[in-house]
Amino acid sequence: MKKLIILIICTFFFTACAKEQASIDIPIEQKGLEIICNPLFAYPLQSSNKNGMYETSDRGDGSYSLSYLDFETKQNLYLCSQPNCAHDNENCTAYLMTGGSEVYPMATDNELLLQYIGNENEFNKTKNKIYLPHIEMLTSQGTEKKTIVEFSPEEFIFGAYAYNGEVLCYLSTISNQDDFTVYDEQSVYCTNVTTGKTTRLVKAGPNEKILIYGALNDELIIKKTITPDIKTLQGEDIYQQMYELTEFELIRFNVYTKEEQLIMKYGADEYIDIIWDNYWFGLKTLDNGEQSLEKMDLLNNKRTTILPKMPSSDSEYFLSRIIDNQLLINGSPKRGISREEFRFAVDINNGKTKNISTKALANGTIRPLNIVAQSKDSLVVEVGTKEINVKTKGQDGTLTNYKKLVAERAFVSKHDYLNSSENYTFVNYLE
Amino acid sequence: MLKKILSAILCSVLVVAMAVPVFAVAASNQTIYAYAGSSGCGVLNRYGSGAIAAGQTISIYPYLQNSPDQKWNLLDAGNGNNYIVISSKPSLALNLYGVPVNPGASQMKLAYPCTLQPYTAYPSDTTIRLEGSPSSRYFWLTKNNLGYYYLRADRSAVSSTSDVLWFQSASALNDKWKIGAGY
Repeated sequence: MKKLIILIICTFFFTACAKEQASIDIPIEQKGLEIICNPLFAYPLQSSNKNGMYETSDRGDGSYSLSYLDFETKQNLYLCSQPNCAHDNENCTAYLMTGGSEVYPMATDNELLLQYIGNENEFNKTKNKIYLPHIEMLTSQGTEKKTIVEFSPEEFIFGAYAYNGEVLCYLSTISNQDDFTVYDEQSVYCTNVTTGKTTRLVKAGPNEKILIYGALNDELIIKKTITPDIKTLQGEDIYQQMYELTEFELIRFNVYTKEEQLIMKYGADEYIDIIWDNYWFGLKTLDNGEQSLEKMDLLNNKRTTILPKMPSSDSEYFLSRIIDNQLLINGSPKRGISREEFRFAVDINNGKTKNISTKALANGTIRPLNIVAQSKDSLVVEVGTKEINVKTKGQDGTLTNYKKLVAERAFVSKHDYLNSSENYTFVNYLE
Repeated sequence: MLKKILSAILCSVLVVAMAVPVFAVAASNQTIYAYAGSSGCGVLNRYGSGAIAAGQTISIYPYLQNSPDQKWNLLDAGNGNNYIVISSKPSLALNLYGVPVNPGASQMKLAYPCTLQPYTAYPSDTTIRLEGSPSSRYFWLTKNNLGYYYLRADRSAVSSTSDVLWFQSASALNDKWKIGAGY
């Protein structure tokens, strides 16, 4: 009898423990978190997975169209399977009503998410929920659309998104004001896309700002900017003082346990940095005004110097992206008559540099090619501009035809691109 | 004539309204309006009608409540820098378009159009640094590289529509901006 009671008690405790475990929402087949959209580094109206690139574009009538560039066929087409569809109403999967504000595709290998920035003006005019900032989930073909998160009109949802097939994490900003200051209330939230349960992972304190900067396994890498209280500063150069006293922190936050761990702390002007996959890269400003390039493997926090000295101290550098272990860096002269931008690649393992000379006219200047997507072997680059005819139908049914200047896009193999070859295969645009 | 009178009245009302709050803005995702000149009658405005799109130019125009053409966000571009993006299409930022409007001018007097472009494609033409002091109630919008270009409302009178251009030197009243959260 005594044994039976012990068995019952044990069973009760095990059951209770199991229930407690389940409430943590750890997915059974858990993938690591990945950044699926980062508008600070990549144009957010485009998003690619291993098979192709999704893109939204403004139709000029309060709606956006959704297209897909297939990496294998090199064809770009509307994400719609209906024959003879005009793609001009909400029965079409390629038609997205936004009220005029932007909508960002976020592609994973299994599904597509759409983030609607929201249009407060349209919402106030119509009180229609579709104009509020929200996120939808669809199949990769654009079907079975469902709303997974809705936001309030005053929330500005902008920043990187991290996702692991189960949990979606994002940054919310609400601007408030008092008599002296406009200040932000910033939080990073994580939503379980199956249950809809949303939890706040981190909230920025007073005089703090936060960004989702990277993701790794179950952790988000948050960049925290800590500024002095502006009311304590005096003089005519308050913003310069404030910047000089600003500190930055990179912190890991486990999205399930909420455990946090400081990775590094640095001061203003010490680093220009990005995170790409599991690496952090930082351009460090040295005492003599030169810059060096460092990397840190975020799996073990091991930091090494890749380049002890950047090619020129008179240039402003922008860290761009990684292609096959080559970190692309854009440079432009700090001052002077020359405005010509340049690009070079740095091997992240041995620091060897290579100039990339292919350029095109964009934004009024000859500059390094804009890279819009990368597949396993190729890049999609913009090599010039071309004029296309656009037909749009307004909400009142009026048809408008106009010419639009768009970027000319082409595929180039990674190998050719890194060797400055112009061996392009142009994208085939289908109606 | 009636339009001018109404503009003048609106401008006077706005000047009085502006006298109350002083806004201190640091790099963040804040929603802002940018008022031109020290008297600040006009705000930074997307020029034109229809859909907001890349390549469109920027003007100064009297404040209109909740106009999507006038609502901007300051995005943190890191290291004390910012992008100033238009709120309903935050992929588009204030940008220096690289073809001068006065190509024969000397280097110091060259002026470049201010347009909207994706900052991810052209970070060197869209990265901006704010300078100044909240107590002086204006901001300098400074191009961070390429010789420090400053954003200027290119008219002596900024109470009505006006071109917004990038100039290499900052000396004029119209280089000054106030940033606030609207009325």
